[in-house]
Amino acid sequence: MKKDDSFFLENTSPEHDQRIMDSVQENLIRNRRSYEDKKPNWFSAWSLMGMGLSTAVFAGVLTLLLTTRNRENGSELFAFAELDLTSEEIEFLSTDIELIENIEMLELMEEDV
Amino acid sequence: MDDQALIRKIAKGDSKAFESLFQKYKALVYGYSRRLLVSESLAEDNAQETWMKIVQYAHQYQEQGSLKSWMITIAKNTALNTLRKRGWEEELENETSENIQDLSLDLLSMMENQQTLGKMRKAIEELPDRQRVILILWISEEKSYEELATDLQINLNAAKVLLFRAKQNLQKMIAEDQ
Repeated sequence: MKKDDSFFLENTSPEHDQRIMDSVQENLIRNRRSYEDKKPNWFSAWSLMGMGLSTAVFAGVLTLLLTTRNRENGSELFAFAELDLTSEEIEFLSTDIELIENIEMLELMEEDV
Repeated sequence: MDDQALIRKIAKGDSKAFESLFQKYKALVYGYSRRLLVSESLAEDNAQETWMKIVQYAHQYQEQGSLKSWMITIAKNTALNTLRKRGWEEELENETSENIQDLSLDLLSMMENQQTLGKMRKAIEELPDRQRVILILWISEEKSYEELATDLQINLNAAKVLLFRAKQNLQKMIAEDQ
C-alpha cells in the first residue's frame, strides 16, 4: 500500500527526548573508543618512516664519504707506484694511516738520498 | 548532511550527528512504536530501546537499503519482542481462509485526510493485538502474506484471516463513528 509517513508521525515530549539523549551517550562513547582503537596511528607510522629515512640518508652519506676517501687514497697510492718504491717502503706506507705525512716524509727521504 | 553520512559519524561516536538524526526521525520512531504498542509508556520504552540499538549497531548498517527502513525494522522487531514477552491479547483459532473476500477498504484516501486519519488511528488502537500489528505492518511495509506470517510467526492462512478481520473490523468501526 502506497503511503506517506503522516499516519505514523507523533510528537514526542522534551522529557522523552532528553531521556533518549542521555541513554545513548554510553553507546556513543563506546563507538568512539572502538573507532579510535581501530583507527591507524598515523603519528607512529610517520615517526617510523622518518626514522627509517634518516637512517637511510645517514648510511648513504657515510657510504659516499668513505667512497670519496677511498678514491682519494687510491689515487695517492696510485701515485706511489710512479715513485719506484722498494717493497719495504710500500709496506711502510700502506701500514701508516696518515698518508699525506708519509708522502712528505718520503719526499724528504728522497732529498736526503 | 544525508542519512548515510550521519550514521557513519554515529558509528564513530559523533554526538552531534546523533542529535541530527534523532531530530529528523524521533516522531516517526515514536509514532511507529505507538501504533504497534498503543500504550504511551510502552511506546516510549520501545523508542528508547530502538535509538540505543541504532547507535549500538550503527557500524553494522549496510548502505544498500534506506536508513529509515533499517530504523523502522529495529523499532518493529523491538515492539514484536515486547508483545511476545507480554503475551498476545487473543489466542489464534484454527483459521481457514475460505471465507476471505478482498475488502475494498480505501485506507490510502483515509490517511490523506486529517479528519479520517485521526479516526483511523483511534480505530486501529482498539483492534486486538495481532489484528492491529498485522494491519500496521501491511500499511507500513507493503508486505506479502508470507512476509507478514513470518514476522508474526504464524502460518499463512492465519495471516490472511487476521488481515481480513482487521480490515473488516476497522471498516465497521469507522462506519459506526460516522
